[in-house]
Amino acid sequence: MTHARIAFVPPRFGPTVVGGAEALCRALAANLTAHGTPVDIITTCALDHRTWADALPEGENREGGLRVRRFRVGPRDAATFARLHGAIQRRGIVPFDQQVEWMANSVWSPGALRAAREYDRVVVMPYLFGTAFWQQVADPDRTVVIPCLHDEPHARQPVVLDALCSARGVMLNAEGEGDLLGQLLARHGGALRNAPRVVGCGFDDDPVPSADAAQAFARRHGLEPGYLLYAGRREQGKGVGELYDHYATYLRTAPRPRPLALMGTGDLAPPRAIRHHVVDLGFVEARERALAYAAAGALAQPSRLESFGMVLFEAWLAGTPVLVNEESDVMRAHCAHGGGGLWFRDGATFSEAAQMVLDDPALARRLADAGRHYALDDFGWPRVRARFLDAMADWA
Amino acid sequence: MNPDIADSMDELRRRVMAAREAGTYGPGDLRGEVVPADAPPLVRGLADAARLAEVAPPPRPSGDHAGGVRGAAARAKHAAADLARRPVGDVAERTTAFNLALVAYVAELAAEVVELRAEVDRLAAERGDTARGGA
Repeated sequence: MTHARIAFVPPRFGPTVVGGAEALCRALAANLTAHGTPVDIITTCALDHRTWADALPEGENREGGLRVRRFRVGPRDAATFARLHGAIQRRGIVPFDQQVEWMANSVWSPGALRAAREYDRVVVMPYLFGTAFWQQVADPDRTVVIPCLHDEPHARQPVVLDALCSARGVMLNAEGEGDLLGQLLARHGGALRNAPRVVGCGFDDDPVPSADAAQAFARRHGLEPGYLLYAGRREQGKGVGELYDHYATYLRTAPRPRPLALMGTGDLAPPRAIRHHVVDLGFVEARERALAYAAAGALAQPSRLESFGMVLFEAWLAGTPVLVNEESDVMRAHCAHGGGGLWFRDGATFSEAAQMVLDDPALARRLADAGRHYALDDFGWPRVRARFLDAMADWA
Repeated sequence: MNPDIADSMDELRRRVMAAREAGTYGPGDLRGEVVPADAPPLVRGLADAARLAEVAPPPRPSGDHAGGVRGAAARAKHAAADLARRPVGDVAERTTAFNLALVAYVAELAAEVVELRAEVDRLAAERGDTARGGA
């Protein structure tokens, strides 16, 4: 299928949208398009992942070289969705009717489902939203899923796994995600139509920002280079509350504690005890993001729920080592195999790991260099493109 | 595993161990490491439960209808956290901490039920008003 018409379907899309799956979608679609495999984006008019209110006009335009087609969000009861989403989080697998009601009230778009019929292959992501679920249900033969799986109760719902098993193909972001999928399917008792393939996101061999540029960025934000950085949404679900707790331990125990800089958006404010040591960088434009990483002494990633860990790669490519939550199999495996960072399990290990990396420039350099090599060797764009196109060809 | 990472993680474990012995870190900074690795599973499980009780979110501000239950939950959790800070070794104390943590959890659930019932009553009353207004 050399001239297949391909559409990617994320639940939201736009330059200000922060999120791993959304960033992966944007980067993969743009790179494939730029290298001779055109990809259209079919998405909703929404930008806010909590309200899913239509924020942009319905219609078609070009964004970053991509044809983007937006459709209104379909009717849904947000309160019902929130109630069932919470019930699943607390209780695990819920009765079948509740699973369906949960997905029926997730974000979806009838216009997007209709538009998807114009394509040969429809790549949906991530698994958790109605936009992906109903596309799998409506047209499984045409549908490839990039689930971005997390080890969470929602991924264990039988309707989710049945939908995944019905799709033509499943693309994974890392080997660790494949292990998780294997466990979920073994418990569920289902099997995929085709063996899943690891594709992931790719990266360019851009030069590491200069020390002068990184220093200038830091100083514009009232910082000195060498700070601890968090990049991503500021939410409990991302482990940010835990990061605040661990950082408080670090502040209390490190002889020369560094400030914590937060890049991204979200409502979870730091508690009073650490507030004076935390600098809010807010949303940082893409062209400046590498500078924020380069000026950091280490990136701290406290999330357990990562199917890829995009920010780790961004940090490594900017010459910065990482500290990750050991409970994320995917991120710990990246660090263990690639050599780009250490992992923590509590406040004590976080504090000691931060001191090791931030106070030992030679160690930090070795970790950062190893991470950069890993990112470019295993996830350079040519390899990722080849993995994507091979999978598409095999599933033709 | 990358050999540099294996060495660095070993060094990290040594540093944490030394700092713990020097009293740098308390139970709140450690997860499951306050007890020796070869301690019986019960002791390790109780230590984890006590730690959970310590880090659990505080009860929400009490309303008129649920203040008593929530107050009890807060007191139980405080007691559990207090016990969790004591030296490891006394299984009886740990058991008490575990039970208190459970009591706190159940009490919080009860508070939620009370709150949900009040919400249902409020919504029912609102619907009644709307129906009467539209008639």
